[in-house]
Amino acid sequence: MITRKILFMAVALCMAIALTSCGRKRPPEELLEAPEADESAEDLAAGGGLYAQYCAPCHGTAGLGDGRYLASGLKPRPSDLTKRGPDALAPDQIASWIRDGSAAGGRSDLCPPWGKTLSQQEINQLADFVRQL
Amino acid sequence: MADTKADKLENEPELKRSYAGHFAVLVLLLLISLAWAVWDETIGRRPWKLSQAEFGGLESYLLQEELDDVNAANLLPARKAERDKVESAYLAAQTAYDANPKVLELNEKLETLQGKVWIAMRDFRAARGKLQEAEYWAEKEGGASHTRAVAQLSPAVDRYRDVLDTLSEEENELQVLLVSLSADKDLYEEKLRGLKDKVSGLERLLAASKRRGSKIHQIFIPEIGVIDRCESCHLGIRNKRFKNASQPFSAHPEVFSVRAGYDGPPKWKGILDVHNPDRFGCTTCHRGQGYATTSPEKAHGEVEFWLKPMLRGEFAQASCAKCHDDLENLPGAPLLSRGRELFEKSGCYNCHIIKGYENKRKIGPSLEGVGRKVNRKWLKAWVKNPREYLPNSTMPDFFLSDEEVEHVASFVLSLDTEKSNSKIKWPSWASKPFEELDDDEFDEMDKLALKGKGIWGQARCSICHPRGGVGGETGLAPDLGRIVTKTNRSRIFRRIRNPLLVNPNSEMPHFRFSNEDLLALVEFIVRDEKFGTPDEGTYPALQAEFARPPADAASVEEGRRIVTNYQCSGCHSIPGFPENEKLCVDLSQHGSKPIEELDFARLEEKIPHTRAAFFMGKLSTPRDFRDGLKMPRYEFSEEDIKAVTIFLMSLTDDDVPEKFRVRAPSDDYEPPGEFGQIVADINCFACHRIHGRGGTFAPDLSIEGSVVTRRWLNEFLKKPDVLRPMLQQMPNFNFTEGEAAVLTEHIKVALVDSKIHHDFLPDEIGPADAAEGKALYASKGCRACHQIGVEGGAVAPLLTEVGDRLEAGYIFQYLKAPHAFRPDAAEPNLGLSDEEALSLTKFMKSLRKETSE
Repeated sequence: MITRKILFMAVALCMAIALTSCGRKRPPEELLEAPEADESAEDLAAGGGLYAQYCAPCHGTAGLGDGRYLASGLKPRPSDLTKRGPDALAPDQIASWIRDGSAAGGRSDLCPPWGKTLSQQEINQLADFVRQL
Repeated sequence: MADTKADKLENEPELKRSYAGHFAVLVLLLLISLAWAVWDETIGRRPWKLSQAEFGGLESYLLQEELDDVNAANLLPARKAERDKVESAYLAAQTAYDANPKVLELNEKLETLQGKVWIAMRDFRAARGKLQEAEYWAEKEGGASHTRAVAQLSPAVDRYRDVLDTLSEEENELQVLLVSLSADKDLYEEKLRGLKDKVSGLERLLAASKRRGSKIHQIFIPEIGVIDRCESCHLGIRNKRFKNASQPFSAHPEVFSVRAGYDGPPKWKGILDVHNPDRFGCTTCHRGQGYATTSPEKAHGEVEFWLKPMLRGEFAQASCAKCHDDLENLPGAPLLSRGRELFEKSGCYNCHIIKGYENKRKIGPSLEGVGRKVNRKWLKAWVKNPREYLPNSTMPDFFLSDEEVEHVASFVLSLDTEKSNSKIKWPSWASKPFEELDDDEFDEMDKLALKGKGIWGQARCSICHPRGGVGGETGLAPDLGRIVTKTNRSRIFRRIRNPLLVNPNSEMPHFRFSNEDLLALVEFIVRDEKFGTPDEGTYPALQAEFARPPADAASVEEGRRIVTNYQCSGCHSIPGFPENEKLCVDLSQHGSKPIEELDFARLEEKIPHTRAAFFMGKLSTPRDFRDGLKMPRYEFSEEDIKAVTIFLMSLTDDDVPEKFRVRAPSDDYEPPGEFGQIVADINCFACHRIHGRGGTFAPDLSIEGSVVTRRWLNEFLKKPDVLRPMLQQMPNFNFTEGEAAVLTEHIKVALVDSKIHHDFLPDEIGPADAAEGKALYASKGCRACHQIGVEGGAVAPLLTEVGDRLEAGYIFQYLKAPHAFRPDAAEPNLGLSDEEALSLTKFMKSLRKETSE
């Protein structure tokens, strides 16, 4: 009788162990990774590429407003994007400025609107790049 | 008898023995195996169940977080104020709308009208029914009475229809009026719904995530053999919410985005948007064993004997070639396209058999008569290390010893079967170095070389030929910075006179220089220091022909053996060697070749036992695998090796149905007739592309006839003017009047786009027609990039005489959607209306030579 009891318990124990050892369910916090740092670097690189194609001809590769194709007669001259101060654009205005053009912002009409050429994501990347110039 | 039997049995010791212990053990074993079977059936073979449970937790967690954020944000004073504002504005608009007397009036009117419409409709239907009946009888029985009835009834039907049309029109007008009155209300209602929707949407998702059961998710596409159960574990793959989740739950990376359409605002799409997994599956691109569900290793195909293990990250690009032919312009497959480019540029198909590359040309120059072309010293240095002379040479390193190089040189220089060609009349002093020229000769030489320098400039030679790394924007032609150490003046002369006669594979245009011009050009090349410095006091280049080298028969024979061994005749055509013999491994299906068939040899234990590692090893250290291998080493960077490996992986036995294929525009365009003859003679395809064939350095001419005007084109061909920056200008090919006419005629008639109308605008546009466009030009800031006269920027083409150059139809279409014509244009799409674009077109057409002067 006793042996049978022991036997039964042993079996039950085995099954219990087998069933519970099937793998631990990890909590959600363990299933997340820290956002990758190079994602923003990628965005910045993409912004740099766009800047070189669309902006650098007038604003210059370093953003000093001294583009290689700058025309002598252009007035006002392309702005120096590295300049900070009361005259410069607020950081959060840059994206909408690129999208709608300088005329929409009440300045000269020389910087065209890019909203129908670039996607919002690209404009944001471009704005990020311009901000760090 | 029976008793004794029973007694016997009773005394049988076997019967008295207890088997309880044995049974207990067996029962225990049985129970254990039962337990194991139950466990294995429910859990062991279904690891995805645990994944799904974990995913459910993760999803709820993320949704809850997001919901909390949204709720918290909604409680922020600013957001709350905004919400309240919208709400009160909506209520106000609603009250105003309800109380508007006009709305009431309109609604009343509408109601009456709708009643009238109903009656008109009823009458119309009744009349039409009668008419149809009459028509039926007229058709079936004929007779005058029936025809008369039809004639009588049909005007009535028309009348009722007219009444009904008028009434419906009135009703529509009223509806439009009503909608315009409710615009305010609708706007706020929409906004309010938007604010509420986010929360309720998240709440709905959250509730669903808690009810998430466990099941196999399968994609089944029999046509391409897809049975993919990958999403049973990779549950977040299509959902951007799981961007930061760890595997297997992470969202598919974006990788690249493509622009959908060039008209209007761009829409950018990620890789899964253009390759919906429901249509393409997962294993189509990533390989692996899509239907395996018992372990990740099996599902990923990373087990023994599974031929196509999973392609991860950049290696998945190898699968793009399954469906896409047009790799050159394929976004998202930069490595594959680079790999194919390198593969073709390096002429791998010259020695290896590869399907689709059977009849491609040999990438090396013919070695026939090379003894007259180059001197021995140069040749030895070249064979030993080609990149020392030409840093971007495509000739690989064969690891030859100095002695072997000597023999190879002997053999190659012995290949002099070309007839001597000494008809060129060189000046008497031609072969003298500077210091041996007397004053008169020096002046003559100087004059001639100066003339040659002018020709070099006018023909824009440096656009293709760099010298010492300077110039060569097209990347098509070799660096001439040390040409004087290599060859001689006869060779240079004949090479320029007609490149295709010297080398049938040459991409150099035929410039049609006169003999005098050629003499001057050659003199400039052999005398100017930009083409190399004199070698030990003499220019080999000054000689008209190199002396025949003294042949050492044994060395020549040894050289021939080496040349045969390394199959130099794969890339070079060599007299006496077979023209199209490929002895190296067939690479046609290398990407799916069983890994056991790859000969790792000495590197078996040293590099991972994968296809990628094998290819990379072969490309970086080809001779390490075993002794006696012949494969040369190419000067590839690590990135290049990866690119070529990915290309090799793309060569598989996969066969995809036609409907999945994306074919490249065919490049077998053959220019017809006289036009074709001129194009072939000049070799226009070196720079220009027409219908998918040719280079990309100069503008695509496929629709040039619709772009430029006849008169301008004709003038330009005869005398290319300054249209582009110096290093992109078209050289003057000295076309005759007749040739220019043939080219112009063909381009204007055959190379056109039917969507662009030739007579879009009347020919003469006066200043009066242009005023509106001129104002628009000024207000859109066009002058920031374009120049008219002296005003404006120089980023974009000069517009001073654009009216002479471009067709009005093209200007209009281009202004509407610049990127439809030039996807990489730095010009913004200004979203012009048809009227605006037309005004601007008129202004552009008014800008002509006469007006600018």
